[in-house]
Amino acid sequence: MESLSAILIVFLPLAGALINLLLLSYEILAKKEDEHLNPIKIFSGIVSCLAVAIPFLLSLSIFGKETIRIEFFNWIPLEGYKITFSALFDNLSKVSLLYITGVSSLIHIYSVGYMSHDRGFIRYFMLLNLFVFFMIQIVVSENLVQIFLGWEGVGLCSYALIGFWYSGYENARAGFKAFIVNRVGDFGFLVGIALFLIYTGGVDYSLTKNLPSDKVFFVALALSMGAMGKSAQGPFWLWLPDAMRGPTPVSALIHAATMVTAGVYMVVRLQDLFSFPSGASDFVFWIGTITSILMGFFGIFERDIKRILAFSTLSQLGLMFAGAGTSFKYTGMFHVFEHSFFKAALFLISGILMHEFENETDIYKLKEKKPLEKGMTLSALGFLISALAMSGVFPLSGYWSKESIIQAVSHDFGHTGSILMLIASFITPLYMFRAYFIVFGNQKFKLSFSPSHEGGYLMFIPVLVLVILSVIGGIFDVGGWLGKEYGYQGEIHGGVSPVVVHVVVFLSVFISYIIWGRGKEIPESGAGKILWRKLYLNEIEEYSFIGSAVALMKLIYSFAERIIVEGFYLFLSVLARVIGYAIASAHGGEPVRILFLIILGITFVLFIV
Amino acid sequence: MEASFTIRDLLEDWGAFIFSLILGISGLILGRLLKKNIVSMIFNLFALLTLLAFSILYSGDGKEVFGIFEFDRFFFNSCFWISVFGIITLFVSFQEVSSKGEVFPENFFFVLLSSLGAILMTGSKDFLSLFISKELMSFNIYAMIYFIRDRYGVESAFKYFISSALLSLFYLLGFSFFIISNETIFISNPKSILGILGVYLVLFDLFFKSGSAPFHFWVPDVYQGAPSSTVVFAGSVVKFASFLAIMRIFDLTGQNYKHLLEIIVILSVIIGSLGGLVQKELKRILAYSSIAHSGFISLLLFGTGSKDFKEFLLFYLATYGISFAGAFSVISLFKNTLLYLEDIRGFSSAHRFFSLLLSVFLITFTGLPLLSGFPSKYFAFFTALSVKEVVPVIISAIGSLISLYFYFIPLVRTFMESAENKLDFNINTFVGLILMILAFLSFVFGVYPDLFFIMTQKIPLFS
Repeated sequence: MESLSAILIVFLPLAGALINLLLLSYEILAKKEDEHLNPIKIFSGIVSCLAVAIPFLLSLSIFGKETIRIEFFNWIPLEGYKITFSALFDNLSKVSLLYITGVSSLIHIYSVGYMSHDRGFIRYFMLLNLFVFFMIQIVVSENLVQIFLGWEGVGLCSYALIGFWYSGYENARAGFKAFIVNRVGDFGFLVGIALFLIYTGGVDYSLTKNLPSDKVFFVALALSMGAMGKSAQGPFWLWLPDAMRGPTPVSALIHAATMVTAGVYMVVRLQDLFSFPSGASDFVFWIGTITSILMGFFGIFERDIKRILAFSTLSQLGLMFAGAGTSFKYTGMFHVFEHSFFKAALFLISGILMHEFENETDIYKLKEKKPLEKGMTLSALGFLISALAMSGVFPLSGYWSKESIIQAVSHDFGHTGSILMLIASFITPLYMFRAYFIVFGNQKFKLSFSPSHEGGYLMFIPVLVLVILSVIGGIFDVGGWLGKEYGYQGEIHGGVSPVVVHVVVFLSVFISYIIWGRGKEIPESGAGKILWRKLYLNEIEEYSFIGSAVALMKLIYSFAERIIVEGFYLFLSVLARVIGYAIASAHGGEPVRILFLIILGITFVLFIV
Repeated sequence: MEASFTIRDLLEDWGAFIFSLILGISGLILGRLLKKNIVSMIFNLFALLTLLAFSILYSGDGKEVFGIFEFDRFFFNSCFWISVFGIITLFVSFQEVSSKGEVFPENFFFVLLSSLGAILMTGSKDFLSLFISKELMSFNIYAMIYFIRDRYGVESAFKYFISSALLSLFYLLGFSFFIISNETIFISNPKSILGILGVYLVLFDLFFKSGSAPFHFWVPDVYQGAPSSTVVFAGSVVKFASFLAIMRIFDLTGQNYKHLLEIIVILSVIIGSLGGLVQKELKRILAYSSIAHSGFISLLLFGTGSKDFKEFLLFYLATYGISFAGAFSVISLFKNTLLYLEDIRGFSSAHRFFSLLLSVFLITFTGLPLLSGFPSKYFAFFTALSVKEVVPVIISAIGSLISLYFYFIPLVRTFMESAENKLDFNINTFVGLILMILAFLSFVFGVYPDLFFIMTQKIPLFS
């Protein structure tokens, strides 16, 4: 029974994607693309939601039971080692399945409402289901090759969904950028897999102990490069803010709640590798911390609500990385779990705002539309609660996970760690409440819940559930579930007191109110311009990496490709055409000529034979 | 050899043929009397279905009939596939005849007669019955080419007729040489140089029928001018029957035909792929492609005497016939007599379903994987390489590379360019259904060629 559930969890989303593919082919062939909701779209929506909701219920049913391991088939049989296609359901993957399938189900339901008037409805749900399938592959895999399959699969879906409205140049370019930047990280991942294979003779996680201790650092470094690429850490942050050009539910699901946390998941999953005292873990911690503080700072200088949320995601991912870089790896996973609720809620709320106000994303223009006075109470309250949860205010969901990260960091890195964590805690409320005050401040508060003003029930209820989960998220004792396996040694003592953290947080909220609560803004000219342009990091990175690559490509293209290769082919094709004309001109014409030529042919053959 | 038989034997072995002829003739008479195409079409359809059932259900595997026909497994397989192609032709030509608004019930009877000739050709053990069945097959095709009485039809029919007549003369000449040498009409190892010359002359005629270079000069003109439904038949069935007959002659004479085959393969591939490169008309492109494919099929004949080559030959001929019949069936749905590449611009946006099918068949010709062209070309190259025929294989590989260009140009026109004026195109449900099945078969035999070999083993069922 449990193995059946396991099989269904792994393969139902794929089945959903295939059914949607059939529907899509039918729709294209029968030319039934339509902007309005039609029966095919409704069927597609129901199938997709079920293909994710059933795995969620099954994940609930197998939660807390024994570890299940299923080997589906021998995937790549090679001499000396074999790579199996299998699924492992231990505590870590069960916890991950819970939030992945849970949040996915809610976002699928929300998407039905959000996308109902889009021509690409079925394509959207096909990609979304396919994404869930690959995400589950990442979580349940037992070896590095299968996780790489899922890794590239989610990357592919993400690329296709960022450029979902592909007719816009900027959208296509954003998808392209994400794809290219991720390739750099994946290169590191591939090198890591290859090194792992060379040193241990296999790709199973369980072989980590066979690694020679002087090689651990390089393997871990290469693999963490892959994790950084997917989680947009360090220099790879470039792609995530641009990725917000996709549909908002996609930003919520893929670029906030699930896919980008895969990097953290991998570090936690490979804890044997990363907890080895080799420096790789510290590397992860420092990358995470620096990204967290820097990206939170950037979030202040942004006018687009989705991009603000993207920077907040980057900042929170940095925190998770910091947690995963300590010896208490479960703290990173804990924050992934709790973060998925309030971050998804925030994105979905911004989606509701866009849905109601003609795709407006500029926070100052949203303010002029006065969302609160139009009865969008859930949006305002949900935004507030989620922002508080993200800041780590007791007793909301973010408090528990953030607190555990702060404690773990202070335990491992002493005062330096504590101070860095306090800075990170200070910055989070600053940009979150800036957005809150600008959009919802100075409006009359009207307590009335009216789903019809907030996107209809299909969009209202998922948001409501996510907001409730953001409040009560603390009841999920992820630390307890994962603790024993992933570095939990009783209570962590000696860290910063939660009271201090709260003081810092509320100080930050207060400062935020003073600056932005009264409608002021840091000027975009003079010295402020440098800040608004994010210290020109984007431009510097693009020009130095991508620009140099492009210059090299242009050189190769203009010389080697155009002159040598194409010239050669041009010569060949002209030659072939000349002979072809000669041959073709010999054919056809008078019947007598045909007879003559055939007799000529016969004579020729007879002569030779 | 003395042939003795009873009425019972006659009915047992020839019952299916006689019954199908009766059906065909009554269909012809009724159709003429009632002036209805559909009557003749349905009677002849049942006649061909009878032959199909005969090929599957007959229980006399390996039997010699009258001493001049051999009913072996390859005969029954040919019977099966020729009937299938005949049935496809019936539907396509019914569509074509009725869309031209003509009453021409004879055409369907010609399909039946020609199929019968082709089937008997693949079973003949002597040169005389081979000649008669070959002429039975050809004569009907002349008439089938002529059924649309426009300039192109008349010209094609005439060209095909006189060149066939010429080659038939060569056949008879070779036949008489052979009789002088061996004093028998049965296909056997020629005893003198005159006999060898005779066999070569006979083979020339068969290679001519299959459209191989250097006897191919009629192919482009005839394929271009003839009605598409006739080309569906001529391209699939005639090629099938001639190659099977060639295979039988190679088998029974036991001579070494290496040089002949080398010339034929190299010339066919070069002429087919380079000549097709510069064509601007779709039917003519496919005619050149047919010449090139004759070259690839001839590669398989290098393997004469080896275990698998007959199965491979059947596989190639059947899958090629499927895609050829499919491609020309799509073409037959166009109202234009000549189909210049400019004319099919934007075909996909107007008729997505049929343009997809056309692309499946064209890609099958290229021999790209996943479709049945890939395994068939693979078998051909493999067979030739296993007897160390390296040069023809290299030339064939280059030729198939070049031919990629002219298979893809129609697809570019179809899918990537938009139409300037409206296409004249008949949509026919039956033909669409058949095309769908053909495309599906192309795919199935492409990914799982073993299925075909299992099928050939199972025909006839009770052996």
